[in-house]
Amino acid sequence: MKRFTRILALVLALAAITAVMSAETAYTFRTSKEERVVTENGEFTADLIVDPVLITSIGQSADVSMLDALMKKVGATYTFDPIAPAEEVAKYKTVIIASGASSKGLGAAGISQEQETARAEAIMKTVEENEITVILAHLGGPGRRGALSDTFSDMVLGKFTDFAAEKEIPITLLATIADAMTVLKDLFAPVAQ
Amino acid sequence: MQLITRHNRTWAAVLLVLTALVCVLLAQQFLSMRVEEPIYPGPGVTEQRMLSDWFPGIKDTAADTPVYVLQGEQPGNSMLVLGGTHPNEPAGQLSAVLLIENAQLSVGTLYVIPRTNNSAFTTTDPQEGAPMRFTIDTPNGERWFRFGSRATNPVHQWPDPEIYVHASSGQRLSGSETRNINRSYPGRPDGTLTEKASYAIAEMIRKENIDITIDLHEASPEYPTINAVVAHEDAMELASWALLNMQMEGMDIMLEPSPKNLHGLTHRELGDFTDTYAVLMETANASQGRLRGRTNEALVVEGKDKFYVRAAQYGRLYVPFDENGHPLNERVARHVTGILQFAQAYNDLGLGAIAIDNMPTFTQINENGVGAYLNAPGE
Repeated sequence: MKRFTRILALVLALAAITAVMSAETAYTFRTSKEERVVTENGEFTADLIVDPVLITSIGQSADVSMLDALMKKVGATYTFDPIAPAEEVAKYKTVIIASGASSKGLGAAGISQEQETARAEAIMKTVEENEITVILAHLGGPGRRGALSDTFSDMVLGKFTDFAAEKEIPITLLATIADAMTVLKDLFAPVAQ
Repeated sequence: MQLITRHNRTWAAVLLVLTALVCVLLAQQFLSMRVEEPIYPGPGVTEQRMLSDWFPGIKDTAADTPVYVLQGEQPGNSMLVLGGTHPNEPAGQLSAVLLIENAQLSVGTLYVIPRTNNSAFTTTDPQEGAPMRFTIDTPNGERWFRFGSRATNPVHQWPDPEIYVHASSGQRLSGSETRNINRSYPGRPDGTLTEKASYAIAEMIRKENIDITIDLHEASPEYPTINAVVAHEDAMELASWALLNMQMEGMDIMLEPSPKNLHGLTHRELGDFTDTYAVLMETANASQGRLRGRTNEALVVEGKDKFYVRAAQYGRLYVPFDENGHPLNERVARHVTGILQFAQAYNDLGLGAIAIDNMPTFTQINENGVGAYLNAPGE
């Protein structure tokens, strides 16, 4: 992990603002109705993004489609390939990985869990070797956290606020997926000439 | 001895009369399920047709069902909304009725089927204790709606096989699923009554070149796919865009891809066997859940249940559930907003043009209630 030249973690954690959580599943929500976007351990600025940009998935949950829609809405320039192999990833300078496992998504993509794990390992090896900037995007919130999803997130960087604090890398938390527009606009929206 | 015999005969006669009376009353109740709830189409409805117009094989059967056509002022693209696929999931039918009674199209065409599995509205599921109807308060008095079964009435399709083999895929399911219309797509012209109904819908989509099909459902709060859109892979971009729009309106909702290996469902088969963008929407309906308490009209309409509140506290549900429950107003608001945002997303993405006007917003339905947008008789 230390060999990464620049590793960013943009964890887009969907937190249900008013969710009633039990003691067993209690989360500390950092976002609120008033403060819908919270960034910790630094800041994200557009100069961190180096073109070309690839969006891919590890786990094949539908979150990657949501990320695609978000990027389209902000007018970003990028390539979308949810099942990009490692050799394809090597062609990019920045890769945004939507992590989250979905058996339906894996089934829809015709990929087994083992194949996806192997692809994830190969991708992470490639980004280390090629010094590619990695942004981890977790859009599903607590509802998308499960053993397999967490395994994939761990393979990419680590989970989430604790990992970011430990490694001192910036992390952005969101009240809802739609709030990601605020962050992505700053990073990717075309600048008027 | 003689006296005892006379006594028994008298009681036997009384019992026979009482039994006959009970049979008559029960038969009346049973047959009353065949009475359809009134729908009062608004000015946006330009034509009312029957599903058999697209497949005559279901004409004069319990599978035939009304199709409301809302033709826009200008030509454009088209959308089909399926309500009442499962008549024990009432938000779907009620959302369809709201469209029929309010929507007006400036561009494109909207097709609405409020009773997709028409036969399933004529019965309730055995041993569920479900109400046979529910009512909604409106400014003009109460309106009643049917609460039916998940599956085709066994009176219309019987017996069930032990194993249901889905025709086009060979998928094997429990025999009772043979009457579940959302396991029967794309249907067969020579299949069961349920398969003929789903075939008629697929035929309608093909013949009318319908661009978007939205199938409205509800699910138990303990079911993982809830407050969600399930989309065929061809519709993922459209669904993602629509979901973001829904979230901006204040709806918490997630997206699921349609599994390729689960057959018979609208979001899979209509996407595969027609050119439509096929999606399905789910809301949280406590009245069909396994953890529910008393199953009555109040549970259907108000969506409050203390056992689900407790289940949420134990972290056993896939939606938040507090003492406010998930009322029908909220569930219909979600579906209606979803429909409108799918149309908006279709336009935003440059796929075509369809404009559905005169519909209440998510906030309006939640604040004013569904009843505020239901027509009075003759309106």
